[in-house]
Amino acid sequence: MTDGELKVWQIAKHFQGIVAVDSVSFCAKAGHVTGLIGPNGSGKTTTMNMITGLYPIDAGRIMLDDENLTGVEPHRIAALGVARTFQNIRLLADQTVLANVMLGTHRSHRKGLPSVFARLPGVAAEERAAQARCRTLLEELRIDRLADSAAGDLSYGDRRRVEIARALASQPRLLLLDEPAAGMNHAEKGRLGDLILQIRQSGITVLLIEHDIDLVSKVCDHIVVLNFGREIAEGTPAEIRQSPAVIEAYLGREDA
Amino acid sequence: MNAAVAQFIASYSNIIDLCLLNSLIAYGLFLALSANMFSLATGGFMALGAYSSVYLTMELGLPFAPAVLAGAICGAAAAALIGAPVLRLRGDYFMLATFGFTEVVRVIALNWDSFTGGALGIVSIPRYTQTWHLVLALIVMVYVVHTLRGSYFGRAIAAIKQDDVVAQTMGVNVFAYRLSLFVASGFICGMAGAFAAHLNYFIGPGDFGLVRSVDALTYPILGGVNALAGPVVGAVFTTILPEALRFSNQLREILMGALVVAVVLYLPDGALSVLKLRRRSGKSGSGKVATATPRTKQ
Repeated sequence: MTDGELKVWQIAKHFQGIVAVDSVSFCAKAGHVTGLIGPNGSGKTTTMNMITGLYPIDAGRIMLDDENLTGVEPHRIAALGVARTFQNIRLLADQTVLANVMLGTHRSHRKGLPSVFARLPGVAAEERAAQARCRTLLEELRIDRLADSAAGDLSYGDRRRVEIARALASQPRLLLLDEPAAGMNHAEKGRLGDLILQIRQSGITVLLIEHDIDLVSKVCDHIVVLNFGREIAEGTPAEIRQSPAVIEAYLGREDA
Repeated sequence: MNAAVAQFIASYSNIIDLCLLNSLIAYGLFLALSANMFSLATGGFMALGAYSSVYLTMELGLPFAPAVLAGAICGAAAAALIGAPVLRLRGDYFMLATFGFTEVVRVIALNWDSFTGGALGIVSIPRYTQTWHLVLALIVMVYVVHTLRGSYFGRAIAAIKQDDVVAQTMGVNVFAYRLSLFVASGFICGMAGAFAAHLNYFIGPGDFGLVRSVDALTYPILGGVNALAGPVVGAVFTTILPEALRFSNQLREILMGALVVAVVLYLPDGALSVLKLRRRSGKSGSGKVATATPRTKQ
């Protein structure tokens, strides 16, 4: 049951009468990278906020493998193995990179308050193990040299990586990336693409919101296209590139 | 030499007790502030602890220790009761609601003559609180806070303070953490109320109102909410300063007010952040200082 297959059925979200997401359904296959694309305001981030429980959903149903995520609190969804990054990077700016990533290990700590106050040896061992895991993760993401820098002092690309490291530190089944390439230069985007493929290799399901079509084509197995809160196309990157509905959504109608 | 120290302690023992008591209260507030809860419920919690413990020692003849514990539990219970609805509120509304709680407790204390003595309060309370009680409570408190900060609990609390959405998505049960910290804060303030009542011979409804709550909030803010010693520094300073300014009653209040404004403006992380600034500038030149100070506070 640790596959990490996400199924979304006809989910909807309204904000005071404005329809943000209207009956969207898709499936992010286990171990695959699924792209969620669409013009600005098409409901991509809203969809991600519904999956992670930050927005209560108005209608529909979300499942991770055979567990229900509908109406579940965000911290419980995280505990079920869903991790995410944010479009506007949300790191704890004055804390070190390592401390930020360590936050991702929160659910893995088993010792309770009494053990912590009694300073039982198991507590320190657990903390060391978590730290070792995070340092390995930082090495894999090639940001280990930044472990002790304040997260707020980092470059844009590095901060994105730290956010991904924090999400991975929670050992998720499903990783949601919200526009990870935004603001990155060409070389950084290339490295990000490699990183996403590397994450895919490790068996984690990825749902990727992204505007950069080269990156999406490079890493995605499957793409879902939204426009005005509705799903307008679905298929492989090649199919999506040919889809008249997608071309129209992005470029407008030819006769217009 | 020893005689001099003994004499010093004898003549200032009141002020020392007060410093210790206020430091304890400051840690109670520190717990709430560490998860961004600007609580004005301190007065209410302290009143509950004070009146209930005095009832137990004076009317029921219970020993001091269980009475203090009962006072602390009363504070914690009240925090648990009002916590569930109040913690759903944000920022200003949370502050208003906790202030409302303190007012409700004060008005009840004012009117429930048979239990609280009404406006006249309760007099000739036995002076059971010893300096070592306060020292012991404070040591335990510092240990608790220090240990929490070094654990994954502390990491989660720091995350809640800076960005509760991130904390949630990383699996932290933000509501449970906030409620626990609020209840712990109620426990400490209730305990402090019980100690305060048995230190002063007298308690009345006016002792535990808005002024008390605001004072309590200034201790950790003045001293610094990010440093372990911050609450003690803030509490001791705020307790001693009025004594030092005794020469003028009016000036005293004005200077205190001006000082709080100055700290908030120039040292938004509290007085102890001076140490941090010096460390930073020593390491990487004075240019770094400017980037170290500003921090947005909601």
